[in-house]
Amino acid sequence: MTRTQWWCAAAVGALAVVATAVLLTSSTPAREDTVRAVASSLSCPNCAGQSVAESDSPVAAGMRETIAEQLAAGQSPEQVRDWFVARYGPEVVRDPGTTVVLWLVPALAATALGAAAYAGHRRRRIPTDDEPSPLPRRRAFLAGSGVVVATIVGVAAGSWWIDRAHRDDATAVATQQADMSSAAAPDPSARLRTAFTLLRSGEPKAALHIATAVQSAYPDDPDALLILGLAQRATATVDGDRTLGRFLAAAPDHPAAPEVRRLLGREPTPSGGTTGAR
Amino acid sequence: MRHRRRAAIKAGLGLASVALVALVLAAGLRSGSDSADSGLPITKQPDRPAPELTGTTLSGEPFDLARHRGSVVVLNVLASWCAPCRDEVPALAAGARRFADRDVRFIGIAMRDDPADTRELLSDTGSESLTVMMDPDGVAAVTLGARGVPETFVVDRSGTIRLHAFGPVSAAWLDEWLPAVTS
Repeated sequence: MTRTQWWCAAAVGALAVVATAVLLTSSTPAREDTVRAVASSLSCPNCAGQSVAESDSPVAAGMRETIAEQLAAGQSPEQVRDWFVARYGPEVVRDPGTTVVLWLVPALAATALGAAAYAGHRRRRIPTDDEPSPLPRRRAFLAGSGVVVATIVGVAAGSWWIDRAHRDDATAVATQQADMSSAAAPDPSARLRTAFTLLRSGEPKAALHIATAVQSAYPDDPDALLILGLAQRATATVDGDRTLGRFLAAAPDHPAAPEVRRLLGREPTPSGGTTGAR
Repeated sequence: MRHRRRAAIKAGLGLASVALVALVLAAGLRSGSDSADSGLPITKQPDRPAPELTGTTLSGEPFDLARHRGSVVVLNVLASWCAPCRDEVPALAAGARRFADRDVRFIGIAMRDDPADTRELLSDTGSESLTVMMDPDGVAAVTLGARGVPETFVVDRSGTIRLHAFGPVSAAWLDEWLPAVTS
């Protein structure tokens, strides 16, 4: 082997080592990224609007583990999603179209408003005979404010309209369950079990209705605080974390306390108390 | 006149745009809070093949669902951190005894739970006889299609999931639903 061939062989060897090192160091983050991408494309089945990547629930954590295991076993992201659809139904896949539209329409609206403002500005500078005189600034400001107010009113009205059927159903369910549980079992724990079941089956508003009633009657009951806090978190109407904090203070050794601490991002300290971890 | 018509068209387009944006935003705000049926527990009949399910029981024995083909298997996803499970576990332990002569196996699946806590749950509720498979990372529960705890899946003798109950089951629920699967 000539000197040149030695140098070539050494260069190829060095390149192979570098390439292997790069592949080894980049493979783990790439897989983590894929796990996160798949998790982001799936809905947490027992959370309100959160993806599997975002949710702190035990089921979402199990789903992330499952995604990682299946990808490591050589399944493609599409195969993994199909696997989840077979178990949780097609609704488990988050609709990317809706997400894109949610971003796209406001962006297009903002662009259109900007273009209109620019056109108006140019027209003000170069008025023509057959066009109306430019709007005074005050009128333009009023028009812009009107658009903003109309958007807010429209969102509120649209939310009410879209949510109407669901709200009626949920209220009916809550009333029925509250009546049923109070009539059949005055024991508050039975009503809290009902609230918990409603919470998990996708009826957080109905669960909140019952949990609020029980907690009002038993303000310091740990189970009432627990279910109420979870329902508040699910409906995002009141500060659920604060209620769950009261639950932890009232019952630090409750069986649900470790999971609630995980949910709130609090880790137990060696002395037995808790501290904020994040 | 022409200006007035143009202004009216512009105003109409503007209002339509605002309405469209509002509807899209409203749909976004509304998404993710689907309604569902109610009941205690909510029972569904999925009729789909049971997945492969293997693991280790609390006593260290291997568990393989496939080895129970020919029996009816009641799989209950539970956890010591789940308050309703405490009320449900005794009914399952008793159910295992009551339905033993009809070749029904009852298996708890402890989801993301510490073995010591699971043992304590069984001990506190007098349910030590219940066989429990540990599911430390929650993969077994997800493989079954669980959405939370407690949930119960009933697999028939051919290996098909016939029942899926959301929420705590009771002795009455077992009496009501199991005979159709065991017959």
